[in-house]
Amino acid sequence: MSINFAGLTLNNPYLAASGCFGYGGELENIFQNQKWGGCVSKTITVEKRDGNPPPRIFETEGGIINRIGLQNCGLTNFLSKELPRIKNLPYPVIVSIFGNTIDEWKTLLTTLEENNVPAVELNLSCPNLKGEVVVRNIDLCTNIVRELKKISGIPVIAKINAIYSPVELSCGLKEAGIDGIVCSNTFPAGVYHNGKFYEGGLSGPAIKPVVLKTIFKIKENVDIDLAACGGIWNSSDIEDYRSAGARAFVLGSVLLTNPDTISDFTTAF
Amino acid sequence: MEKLSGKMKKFIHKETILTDIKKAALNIFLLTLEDNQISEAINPGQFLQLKIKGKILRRPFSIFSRSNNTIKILFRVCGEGTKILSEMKPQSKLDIIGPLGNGFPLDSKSPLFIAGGLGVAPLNFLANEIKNSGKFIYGTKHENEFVALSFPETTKHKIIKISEEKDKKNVCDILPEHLENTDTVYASGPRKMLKKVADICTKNKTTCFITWEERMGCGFGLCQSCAVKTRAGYKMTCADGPVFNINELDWHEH
Ligand SMILES: Cc1cc2nc3c(=O)[nH]c(=O)nc-3n(C[C@H](O)[C@H](O)[C@H](O)COP(=O)(O)O)c2cc1C
Ligand code: FES
Repeated sequence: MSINFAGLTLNNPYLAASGCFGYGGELENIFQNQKWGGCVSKTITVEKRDGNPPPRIFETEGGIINRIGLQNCGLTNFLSKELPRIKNLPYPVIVSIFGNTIDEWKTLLTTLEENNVPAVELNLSCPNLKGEVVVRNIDLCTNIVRELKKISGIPVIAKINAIYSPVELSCGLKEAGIDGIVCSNTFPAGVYHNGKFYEGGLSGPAIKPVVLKTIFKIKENVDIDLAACGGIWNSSDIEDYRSAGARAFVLGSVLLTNPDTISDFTTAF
Repeated sequence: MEKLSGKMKKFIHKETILTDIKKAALNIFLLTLEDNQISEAINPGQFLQLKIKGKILRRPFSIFSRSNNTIKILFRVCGEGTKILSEMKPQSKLDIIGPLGNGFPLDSKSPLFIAGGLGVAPLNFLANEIKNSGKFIYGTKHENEFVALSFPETTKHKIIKISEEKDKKNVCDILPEHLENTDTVYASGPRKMLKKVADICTKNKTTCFITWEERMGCGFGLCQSCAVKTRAGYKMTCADGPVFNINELDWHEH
């Protein structure tokens, strides 16, 4: 089942999604035998971030809405505390990053590369940040990728959003030299909880048909290594995404329901 | 006193049989699960994540009591998830993960338990496990919301029941008069009550542990959904708690 995706060799095409599996190494002694192809860490930023005040997670029909707000330990703590245990895992951990400026993106990439991280995923698409979502600005995205590809020797993967001009963006990213694309991040959404309105990102089965169509459209227009992410729950979801053109499959919300999903998947296939 | 750590220890994920479900008080149900692995490993204050049919997020529940081969969970029907749970039939299967989080320290010489409403669940378990005897203050809004506690009152802890409806006061009103000769207060209940208890115990310099509730995703520290503001910034209720010493939390935020 081993595949090559975006220049990485993975034992199988299943990846744990950013934000749903910690930094990758926490569960080392709990799920020792989980047979992931790889996993993507929680998004890290140069400075540590506190994230949003609670409540941070809600359930809606067929989906969940989160508003974590990119809480993370920051680059320095990541290197000292998280990286050592990630290195012992039997699968590669792709580190998800987010920069506020082009210099921050570069700092993150070069520092991680120096520390032998196998690949990075650029979180261009988190809806839980104040201000504009990077991914809505195609020129900005392609510019970031072009600058990063100039200095990087490791695979650079872009995490995009199915609802912001994904085809046009994918064309631009490919031209800029991206190694692979993960589609999709969560969709901007809202929920009332105890009479108060909260904004967050929608994930889970509710978004799958939209992501499926997007994967199909990207594949139709761009020749690029594509990973599907959105509402993958069972083998028929995998088959759908595979038919639409995805080569790797990224599991997020399902891990909150069933943290052993990967074991079920790898024995079923 | 150290919290009993369950952090990053191995937990069990399995399917169990729901052997019994019965009404314990108005809108409150007591559910019995067949199990001999988790019941053996779990400490008072730790919790389980239950998978509820048709729902994506698991729901966290603390333990009301355990025996050799069962665990009991107490819950109030307060949303769709708990409604579905309350309608489950005996002998149905239930997917559970546990034990999760950190439990209460058990080494108090003269404990005082203070429970508000459903907060009684983890304290009933704790009161059963603590060796030394003390007092158990248990408050509800209405008389018909009291559930039967499962420790022998005569040999264990003196039970003091307060219903706001009948007694026109709440558990916090009577807490100060019971603090003398108490080395540790264990509190569980609504946030407003916990804040008051924390305030009283801080002023009185009494050690106090509370159990915190927050909406959860994973239940073991991976998704950052269950943030609670502490003096050292946000921590995760599921992995750093749910039991906290009152000195750990930032009460201005709550
Ligand atoms: C609790 C939670 C936290 C997340 N955090 C991140 C994150 O830090 N970075 C990121 O790129 N995506 C994050 N995501 C998005 C997921 O990686 C994934 O793209 C999205 O949930 C869609 O997949 P799913 O339907 O399988 O969950 C998060 C999702 C959830 C539910
Ligand atoms: S519920 Fe996921 S970190 Fe606590």
